[in-house]
Amino acid sequence: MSRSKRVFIERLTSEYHRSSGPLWQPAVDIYRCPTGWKIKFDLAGVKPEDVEVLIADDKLIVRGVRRDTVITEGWSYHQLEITYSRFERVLKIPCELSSAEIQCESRDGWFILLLNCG
Amino acid sequence: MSDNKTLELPILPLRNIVIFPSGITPLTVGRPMSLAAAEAALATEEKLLGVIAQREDGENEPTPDKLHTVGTMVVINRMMRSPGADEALHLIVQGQERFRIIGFIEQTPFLKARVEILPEPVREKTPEVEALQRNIQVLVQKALSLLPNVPPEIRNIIVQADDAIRLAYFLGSVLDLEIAQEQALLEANTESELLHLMHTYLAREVEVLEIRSKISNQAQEELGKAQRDYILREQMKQIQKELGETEPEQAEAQLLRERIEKADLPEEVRTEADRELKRLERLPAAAPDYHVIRTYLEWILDLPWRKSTEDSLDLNKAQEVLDEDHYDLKDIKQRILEHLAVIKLNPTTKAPILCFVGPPGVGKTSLGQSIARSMGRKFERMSLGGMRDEAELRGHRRTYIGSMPGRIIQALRRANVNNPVMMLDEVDKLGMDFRGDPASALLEILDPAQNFAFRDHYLDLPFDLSKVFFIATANTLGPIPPALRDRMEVIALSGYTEEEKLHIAKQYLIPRQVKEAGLKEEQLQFTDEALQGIISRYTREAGVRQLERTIGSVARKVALKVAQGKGDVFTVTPSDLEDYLGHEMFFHEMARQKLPPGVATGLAVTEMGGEVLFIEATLLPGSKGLTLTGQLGEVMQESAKAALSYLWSHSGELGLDCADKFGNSGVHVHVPAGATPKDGPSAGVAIVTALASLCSGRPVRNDTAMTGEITLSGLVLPVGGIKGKVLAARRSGMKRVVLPKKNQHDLKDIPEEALRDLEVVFVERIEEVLPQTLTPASDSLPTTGLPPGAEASTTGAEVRAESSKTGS
Repeated sequence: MSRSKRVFIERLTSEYHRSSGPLWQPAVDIYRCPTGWKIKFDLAGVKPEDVEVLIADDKLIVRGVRRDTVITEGWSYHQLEITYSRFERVLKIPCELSSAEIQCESRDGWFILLLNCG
Repeated sequence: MSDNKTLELPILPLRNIVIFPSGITPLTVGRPMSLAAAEAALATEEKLLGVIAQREDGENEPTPDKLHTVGTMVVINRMMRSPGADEALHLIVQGQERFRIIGFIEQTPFLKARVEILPEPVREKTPEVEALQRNIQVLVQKALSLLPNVPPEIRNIIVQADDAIRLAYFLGSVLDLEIAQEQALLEANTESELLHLMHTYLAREVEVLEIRSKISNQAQEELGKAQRDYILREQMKQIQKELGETEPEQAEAQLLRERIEKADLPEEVRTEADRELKRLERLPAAAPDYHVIRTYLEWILDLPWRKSTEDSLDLNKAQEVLDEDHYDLKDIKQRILEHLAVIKLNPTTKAPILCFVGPPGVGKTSLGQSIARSMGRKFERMSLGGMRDEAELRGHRRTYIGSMPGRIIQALRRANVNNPVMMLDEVDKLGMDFRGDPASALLEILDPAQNFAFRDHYLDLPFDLSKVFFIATANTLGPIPPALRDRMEVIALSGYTEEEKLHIAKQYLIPRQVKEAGLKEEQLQFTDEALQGIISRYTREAGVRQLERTIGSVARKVALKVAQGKGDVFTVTPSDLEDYLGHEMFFHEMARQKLPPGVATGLAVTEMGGEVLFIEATLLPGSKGLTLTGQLGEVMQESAKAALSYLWSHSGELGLDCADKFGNSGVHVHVPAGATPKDGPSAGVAIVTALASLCSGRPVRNDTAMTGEITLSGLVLPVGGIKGKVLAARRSGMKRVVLPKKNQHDLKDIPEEALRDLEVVFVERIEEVLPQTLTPASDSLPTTGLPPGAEASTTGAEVRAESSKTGS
């Protein structure tokens, strides 16, 4: 058993929210649109009710759990590449979050946030 | 129990590793229990697994009590099955949170436990924690500086890490710690505990790194210089190759090869040279042996293995050359001419080995040069005086550092022919003690039966010395070992007579010194009387060195006058001598004008030629026995005892009252000069005369010198060095000499003019001696009771008138 130091380092260097511990981070696309911001998370397999959106000061925090709902009694894994369990993503968006109007949408495996803040 | 969250987890026991929260670690799972635990975790929705380190590595199916109680909850991020037949799983897991086992629920087919999630260690803001954090940063920096190959990103993370706990966990997984230490880190519940542990481990790690780097630096330094030299040399070789120059050592070897091809070497030498050259070609120039071999080859090539000069065999011309350089010395000239005649008839004859024995300044060395000139050979001279190491003659073996061939081989290289006249000067002054015995090495060199294959230690090849004309010189034969003396043909050169010196001065010394002083021959003349004055009163020697110096001194003084314009032509007469040379320098050994009873004139031979010496004897009333002083050797002391005993026992027959006198008082015999050691039996006659004079009260004739060994029965035996002794007697103004009869034949060696004014008396027995040497009884009476020599007893003229000639 050898240790992979490099992977470890990536975790440390990336931006993380200290209180939540070492969790996986979904990939994000951020669009600027006439009404505000549209943020698209790569969260395939995550039920909308398992996603939590928080606003702390100027930070937008999206966190939740991805569960494997496909596996059934009697099966076994041959290969696993998708990361499950808890995730968390903290973003700083240049807009007044406290007064912003936020809408969520789950479509085609994406989790999309719409921020209306002028 | 606290209010921490609890949950059930499949437990995977780990060997050799502790996984920290937030660490991403690859694991390979192979044991059936572990496989089952991993499969169970994979079957859950969140893929969570508990990992705990085993207390002992060896345990294959650990039971709960073989596990630590604190572990890490991990998420399985990736999973792959091995492509091969074995069942192993490859996992990549990411640590999430620490947990403590509350209790195991199942133990088969895998361990399953209820666990309590532990919070992160409590963060503290105390000064202690701050200090620990900073110290850890410093240690980490030090460790990084000692580790050469740390990737820059790790460097950045460590330097920029702002969370001490995360950094500690990271370091825990990176450092080479033991499982127990890692487990202790994991179990730490407060920040200060965690940092304390980390600080201890890190400090030790840094120390180990420092020592390791120090050791490797030392090794590096030692290697560094040798490597650097080697690399530079190789580079130089490459550069030379690029420039089209051959490598220097090969060029040198090539040069030597050409010289060996051209040289006329004997077969054995050629074989050896080729062999050494082959060794040389294989060596790099930096090898110490390289220069040793090169020098050796150069020596071989420089030696005249087969080169010789041709002898000029014109006997008349040879005679001319010899006469030109040296006056008289008929024996030696004759010997050289004989040898040339033999070479003429038999060219393969062996060269003779001569030994010239004689006092300093008689021309031994210059005679060697003259011989070489007359034969048309080269001349090489080496002084053996004070040499005490055999290796100086025969060389050191090549294994020694700085070894060289001996002096013989060196001289041959200088001469560059194998038949020079080689002069071995001062062969009697060879050292011989525990440090070595060069005389024994000479035995081989000077033996015609051996020296055709002389092996120098350095060359270790036979060199033919049989064509070399060896001439040894010595002042006396005494110190030369008999074996060595036996190998040489000894030719004695005794001192020159005054007449000979006069000739030598006129023919050789004056012209040479006049020229030296920058004068013309006609500008400085010596009358014969003046020269005789210089010879007898300003010099005292067997040879002519002092004479030449004295003449030179006169010549320089004349040169000064000429240069000052005080005259142009000078003739030196006896009356001028005091002006030029000051007071007479030698007069004390001239015949004493008056001899008191008990003093006799003896004759001795020294390295300086013959010498006159006085034997003084006196009675010591009230004392007993014989006292001898004057640095007398054992033989001479015994001779004195024999003399005393003879007189004592034959006192009546001789008409002397010795028995009474010797019976009542002691006798003291002294031989001046007291500082010079003397030995030998030849003073016997003189001692007997002195003692007879002492007890009879009759003084010894002051114009008579004597020599000869005596026996207790009264015989007078022959002695050596007659020529030198007679010349010395004459030089000192003696008119008569008493010699043993058996030495009669030695007289023919003495030039006739030296004997002209000298009466020679030969004796066979002591009874014959005394009448010849003692003054008649009547003359001595008035002197009794007076201080010695206070009154003249006789004069030479009176004595001669009365004396009668005995012997031949």
